[in-house]
Amino acid sequence: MLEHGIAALSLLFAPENFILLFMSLLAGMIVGAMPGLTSTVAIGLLIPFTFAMSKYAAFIMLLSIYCGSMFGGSIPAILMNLPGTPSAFITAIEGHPMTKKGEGHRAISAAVISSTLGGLLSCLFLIVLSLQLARVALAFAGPEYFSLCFLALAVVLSLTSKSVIKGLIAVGLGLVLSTVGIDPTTGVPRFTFGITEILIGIPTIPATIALFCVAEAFRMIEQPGSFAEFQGRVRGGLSLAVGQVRRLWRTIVKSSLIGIFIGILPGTGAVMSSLIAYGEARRTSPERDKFGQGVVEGVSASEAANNATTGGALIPMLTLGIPGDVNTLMLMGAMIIHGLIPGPQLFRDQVDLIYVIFGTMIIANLLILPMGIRMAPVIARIALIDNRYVVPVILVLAISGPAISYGHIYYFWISVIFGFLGYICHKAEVPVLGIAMALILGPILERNFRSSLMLSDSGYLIFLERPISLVLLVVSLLVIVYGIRRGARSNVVNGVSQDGARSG
Amino acid sequence: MKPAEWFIGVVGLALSALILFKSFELPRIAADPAGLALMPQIFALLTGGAAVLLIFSLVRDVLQSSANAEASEGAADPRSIEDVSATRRLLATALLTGLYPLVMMKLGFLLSTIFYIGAVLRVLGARPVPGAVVALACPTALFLVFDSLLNVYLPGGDWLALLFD
Repeated sequence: MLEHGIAALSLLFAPENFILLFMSLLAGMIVGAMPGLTSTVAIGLLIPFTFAMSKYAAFIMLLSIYCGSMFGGSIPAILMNLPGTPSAFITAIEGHPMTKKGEGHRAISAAVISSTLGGLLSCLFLIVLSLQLARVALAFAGPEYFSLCFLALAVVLSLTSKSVIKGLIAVGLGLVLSTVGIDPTTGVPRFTFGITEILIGIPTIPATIALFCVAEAFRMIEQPGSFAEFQGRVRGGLSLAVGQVRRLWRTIVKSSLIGIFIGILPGTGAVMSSLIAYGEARRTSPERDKFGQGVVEGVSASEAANNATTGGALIPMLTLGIPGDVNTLMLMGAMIIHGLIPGPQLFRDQVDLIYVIFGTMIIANLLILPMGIRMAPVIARIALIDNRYVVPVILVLAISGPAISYGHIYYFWISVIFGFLGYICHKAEVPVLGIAMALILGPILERNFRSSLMLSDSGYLIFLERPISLVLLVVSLLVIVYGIRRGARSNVVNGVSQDGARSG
Repeated sequence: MKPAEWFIGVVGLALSALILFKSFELPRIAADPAGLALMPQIFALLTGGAAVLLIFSLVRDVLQSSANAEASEGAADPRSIEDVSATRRLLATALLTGLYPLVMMKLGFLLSTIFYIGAVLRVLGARPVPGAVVALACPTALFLVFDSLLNVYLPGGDWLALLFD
């Protein structure tokens, strides 16, 4: 372990790699600060550019952007009430009132130190848990992988949408589309309708990038322009940030643990972890009545949780090949491009890359502290760029980038069609993440289901006879039941409030 | 009316029905107990069932809102000018995006991207000079990155073949 760690550090501190990490972290902060440009968009748009890079450079760049963008959204959220990322909406609740009271520097310092420590704590869990989990997962066979994919899809359809029906449509659409093309087990074409190009199926990388990035560009078209001003100074240095630890350490630790746990759950992400961590901080704070008027614990909780999600989300992706959130789903695409198969075999066959990933996460989170303090005012101004000039660039990169690398017009059409689909799903409140997850996990689910049956003497009971598979299936059913009850409760509440509005 | 939800419901139902229907034509393989068809059929039934439930809930909402409209004699919410403008921008950009691959086949990557970015900026109301700069600089930069740095083949377009024939 030690020699792999030393090798990884020497690679990371090579000048070209360190500069790449630094610049990518800065780019991530800038992207995160610009409303509409999330880490998902940044990672998705840059994946095609990693074709020509080594796998180490590719992941140094993509992971640094991931970490930087998680923090970057907090800067305009605090200073201008203009959240750069969805999770920064929570940070803005407390951060902007602090700015209005003249305490913007304290809020930024709290955000920086909380993001740094939250990220570092999640790196610790990433290293410890993933090494252990990978050992267990190497013993998994077909039934376990089938049940694991089933659980991941159950979580997505139950928790990512207010309506289980819409979650099921999303997952179902993705699963149906994943069966198109040549069946990898038998080589027989399915549902190609005689069209030669469709023999290769739905290419997941252009499709998933388009689902998120093209759709995001269309959302920005609904409200083009820039509609905030930055008035103010940000003062205070590293000492102010570090000095806040004494007051905030309990909040940071608790929120980080929430972020790590939420990050591990497939299909969740930073928004959910920020929300839950903020709610918990408010519940346990002696100043709970002042929440909403500028309480620094609120900023700290949100930022610690959303940066802690990064490490947590990497755990299932690296060890099981199941993405923890949208960003790790994109990172899986990057792995596939580089001929890597996400899952426990990485810890056996690509140990050097694993340690480079660990090292990148640690260094990137450490660098957030000095860079966040220094660059906050600059990044705040960049956030004000008129997004009219950014939208067409995003569209071109999202459509052309992944498609050009394959060199056939079919991939462009996939990007266009899935981009439209992603936007329509957003308008219909159908979770796009469900489609993307199902596109990627569908083939794995089917392959392991069929291979398990082929090798089993007990038929379908194989999935119930193996204890881990049984536990995963039972948990999946519980998650689905929870999702249905949550949806039913929300329908009842909506019905009552509509009745009240009519009669009142 | 929720057109996006109707679209998802109808497309989901249609796609599921199509996949289910075609799955019965797939060959059976003795060594594969589940076969080629079982999983697509399960996926299609789940998706189709969910689509039916969604359409059913949308129909129920339409009937309820008609009943409420009759009871209260209320007028439909007028769409704001901003909504109409946003819809026009979206439709125009969607049309341009749909045409982009077609134009790329004819004119190649560089020219088609310049026209595409320029047209989208025009639709979004960008100022002419900054818009022109972005429309020229961005595709050129991408062309150089893909062609020189990444050594990726970029479509040249049919017009190049005509020129050099």
